[in-house]
Amino acid sequence: MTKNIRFTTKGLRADIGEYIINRLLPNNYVKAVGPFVFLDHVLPIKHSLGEPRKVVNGKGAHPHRGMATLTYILNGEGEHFDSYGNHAKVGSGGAQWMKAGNGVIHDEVVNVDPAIGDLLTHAFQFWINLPSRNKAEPPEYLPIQANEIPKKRLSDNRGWIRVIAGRYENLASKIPEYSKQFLFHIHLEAGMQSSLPTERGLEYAAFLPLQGAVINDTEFGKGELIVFGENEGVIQMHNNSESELDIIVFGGEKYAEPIVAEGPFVMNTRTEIADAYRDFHAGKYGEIRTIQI
Amino acid sequence: MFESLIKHINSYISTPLTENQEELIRHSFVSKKIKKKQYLLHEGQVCKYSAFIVRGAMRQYSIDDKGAEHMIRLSIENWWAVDRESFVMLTPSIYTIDAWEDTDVLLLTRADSLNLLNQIPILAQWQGKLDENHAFSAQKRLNASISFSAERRYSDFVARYPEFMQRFPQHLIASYLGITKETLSRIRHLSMKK
Repeated sequence: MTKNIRFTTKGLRADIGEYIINRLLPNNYVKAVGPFVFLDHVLPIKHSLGEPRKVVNGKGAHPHRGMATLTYILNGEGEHFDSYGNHAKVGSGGAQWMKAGNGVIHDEVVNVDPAIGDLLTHAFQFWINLPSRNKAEPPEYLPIQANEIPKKRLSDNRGWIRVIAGRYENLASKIPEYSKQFLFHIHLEAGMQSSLPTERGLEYAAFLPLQGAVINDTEFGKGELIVFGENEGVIQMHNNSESELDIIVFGGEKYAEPIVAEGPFVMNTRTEIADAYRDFHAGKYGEIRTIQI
Repeated sequence: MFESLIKHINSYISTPLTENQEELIRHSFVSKKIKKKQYLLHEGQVCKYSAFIVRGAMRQYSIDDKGAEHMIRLSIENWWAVDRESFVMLTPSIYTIDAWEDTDVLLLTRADSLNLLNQIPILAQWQGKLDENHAFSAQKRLNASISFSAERRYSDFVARYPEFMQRFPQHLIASYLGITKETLSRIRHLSMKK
């Protein structure tokens, strides 16, 4: 048995500054997949040698409250600053998790990774909703370098799976979770296939960032987000092409509380959204200091 | 100070505001005088307020690498001055908003505007109409800028906003229409001859 496919979407262009972005979540069909309420695909760009690097200069600074951001960098170097004094750089294959909790201001850039000569930038930003009790907690930040992300080779040299969030078999991500969540990066070599078992009651979606694939016997194109139905079954992935295939699979436990999202905030009521704006202007989220001592 | 705001809101809703509702609105706005050339918003700041203009005139513009100003919006009495994207998303604005005349404004924060909408549900009608009008005029302006000649853009503007001709100088209107001062004076010269 394979899982039914509920719908697919290619998202909408939603560029921010110099980044070319496709917004896949929320979309016309769903507000969330598990606790994931937002997904921006920062499209791959090949930069020229000597192109100036982007710097954190306050122009991209903005607040968040009520959710956690999770940036997964396929290619490039992400740099993060926030109003709680956190600063880190994460290279290709790494991730950054920031629990906004009761309010934080952050600014981040993605540049070419100087340690890898590919001149590429390519990333994802997810927003993970927090249960109401965790929305009120102080912010936290966790940079995760590529070598800290658990990875397992699939048998018979079919490819590999990386566990960015949640658990897979004996692998567990170090990103804290407040409700069941998972984010896997599955890589299949040319001509290979794999089958992912699913858990009853969890919501699942798959995304094809770079090329199409056959999923549960249906062919999908590059850039498609596939959201699965509730029936029990596996997710079968076939790479019928002659090149490698990357698939992002994510989801988790359905968010049970009301979702009221506006601007950079994800809360449970409209009053909480108003409070989030008021507290921002009252300076309660602090400020970013980018000057390093 | 508040009469024009209340009148403005009442003109968009199906039943006029009650006294209590008017009182709530008065408490949510803060009045402020902005002298000519003083700023409501600087580029790089987060737009904290949406400003309803009671008296005066304001302009919103971006400044390019060469220092040239590009008028994105001109506003007079009963209009609003705000960078809505920065106001809602809380990202630093790419625009500057300043007063072109000595101006009296009523300022509203996002938090107070959301609270007002919660407390006075009928205000959703007002907001909805304003959003619609804004979408219509943005579409008209976009169509004009991609398909009209400079002459037609100017004559359309004169017909639609005659009062703006008295309040703003030619170089601001030229910038708003995306044409050079020289082109504008040529068009005006021609239209006077006709």
